Amino acid sequence: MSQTPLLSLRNLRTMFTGENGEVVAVDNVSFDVNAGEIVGVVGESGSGKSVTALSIMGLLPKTGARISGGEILFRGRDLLKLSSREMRGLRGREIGMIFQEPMSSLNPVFPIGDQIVETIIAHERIGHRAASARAADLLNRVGISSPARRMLDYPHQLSGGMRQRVMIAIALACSPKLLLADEPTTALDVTIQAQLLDLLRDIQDETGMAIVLITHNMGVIAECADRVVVMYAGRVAEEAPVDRIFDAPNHPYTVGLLGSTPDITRDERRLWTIPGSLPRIEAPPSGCRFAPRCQLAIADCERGQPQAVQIGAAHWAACLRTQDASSLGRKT
Amino acid sequence: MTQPLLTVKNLSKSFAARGAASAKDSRTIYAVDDVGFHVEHGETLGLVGESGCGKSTTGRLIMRLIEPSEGSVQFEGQDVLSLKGTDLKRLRKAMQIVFQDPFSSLNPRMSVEDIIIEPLVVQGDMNGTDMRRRARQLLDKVGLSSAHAGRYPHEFSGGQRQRVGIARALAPNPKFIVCDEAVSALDVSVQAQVINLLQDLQEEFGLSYLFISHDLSVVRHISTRVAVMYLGKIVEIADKKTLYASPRHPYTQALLASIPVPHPSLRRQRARIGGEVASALAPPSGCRFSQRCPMAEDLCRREAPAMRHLAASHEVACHFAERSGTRAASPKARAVG
Repeated sequence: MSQTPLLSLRNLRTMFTGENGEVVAVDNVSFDVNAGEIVGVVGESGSGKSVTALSIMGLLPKTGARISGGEILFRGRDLLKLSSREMRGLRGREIGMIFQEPMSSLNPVFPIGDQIVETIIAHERIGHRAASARAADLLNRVGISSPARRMLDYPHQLSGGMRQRVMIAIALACSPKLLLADEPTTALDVTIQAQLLDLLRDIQDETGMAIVLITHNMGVIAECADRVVVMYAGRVAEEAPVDRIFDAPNHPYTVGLLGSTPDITRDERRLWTIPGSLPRIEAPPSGCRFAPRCQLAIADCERGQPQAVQIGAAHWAACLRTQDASSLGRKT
Repeated sequence: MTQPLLTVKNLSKSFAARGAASAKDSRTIYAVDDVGFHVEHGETLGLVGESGCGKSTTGRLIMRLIEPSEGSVQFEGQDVLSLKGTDLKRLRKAMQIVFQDPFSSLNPRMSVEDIIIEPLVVQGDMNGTDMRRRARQLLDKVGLSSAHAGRYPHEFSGGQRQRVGIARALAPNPKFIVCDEAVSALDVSVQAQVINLLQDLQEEFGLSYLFISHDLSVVRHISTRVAVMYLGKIVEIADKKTLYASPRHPYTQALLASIPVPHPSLRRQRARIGGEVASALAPPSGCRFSQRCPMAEDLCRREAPAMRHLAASHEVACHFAERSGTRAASPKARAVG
């Protein structure tokens, strides 16, 4: 691809200080996000997907966490080299973020209108009245009716779905180039989830903004993503265009994750499961992190982190046995 | 025809709304309103709905963890709601529950063995040695090891804790288990293991489940029949195949259309519904779904539809259920290949 990616993670490594020394939460993670695309990052607990997002935003806890290696290139600039003042200017203006729990992201003692206006004024030379008018427009655009009246509401007066719409409005306030959405619909009911995923895609179509969508739900990935990054225990297991991930997965973990997801469009007598449980971050397996749970593991898998192997166009898998993985547990 | 294992009729529970702004504001919430269904021997009835629809309250009412306001619950011909003292205790051997949160539902100060034998201690008809032997057997049965007996809940992962919760439910040798969001807190790869375990145990012990969940894909996988709840009422019950392939209640249709399916090729082919669930404090008059329903007419806003049979194993509460068939938006119908 000749195009320069909007965001490029190169060998990102993020550490946390635990009770017994440092643990690696994100280990050597690399992927690109191009302008105007939706990249889905999928993984289970401890996969490092949220820590990756916080690392990009520069929102890791001040104590006990650090980025120990790699680069985060956003429009060619390494975000890790920016001062905290420069990062503040970038956050909200060029990169927006929404989180799983909108209640804890909104300030409970201010009306929501003020919170949107505040964001706009923090980033742009604009009068209060104009910012107010834009806030109302934004609320309208995220599907909140009578925005002028709603701007006076406090967060507790809104439902979970409405609060998440407000969060999206705030994230969009300065027309960012990139939106990081961390489990944005996980806390919501399924009919509301569907409305919000539709909204995100409509906004993306309209504005051409890129979205990194972090989720544990393969269905959400299938609905929204253009490309998919599958993470396991802090590392990227597989990366591919969305059709390839679902139709031709090449990492045994991706195959297992798909087999474990009950599929509403088919009858299966039994789910195809991955044995064992997720590794503890304090004591990750040596070599391939998935090896202890992998049916295809061989002695070499325990010797070192497998390098990403190119399978096809824009399709990589970090596995020594990709050839056999593609025929594993095939659903018929 | 043999009698169903469990028959629930006209079950209702109302709560006084707390924290009302003023005395005249003291209203009543009908959390569960005139709910009826049955569970056959050896089957799984899935109970689905969104948050606040009353599905968990229904499970707790049947177990009498909360006392119903009205209605009847028959278990093997016995009237559950009139039982007291020893009779109620004996009944509870046969009816058990597995909770959602494997962290808060296990006492952190008790060893896993003590947790599993607690129901047996309460029942009081087994001696200590037998109880401990039973606990160890059950640990093996749920995929843990008898070597884990002396450990404490914090030493286990979420999935393993949920296995302990299942072993505890199995201890008194029940016939019926309420699974209240029993796999919802688990990661997908672990969730699949626990679902398979529940199915294996059902086969081995002839168990019946009331499987309460918000996840329609999981419910489809595990259930024999499925009931859909909305704002305290059951709106549709059918065998699994019928419910997912030709749902007749517009809410069921909307719910099915909202599920993200793991097939990128099926993207955006489905009808959505707008709006949000109304407050249980002020449910709409008539049909409770009428505000969000794309087919609602005046009749729907005036009169609440009663549950009626469309076929032997298909009941629905909608005035226009016959008409709604054409709107069916089940992804199955559109799946290619």
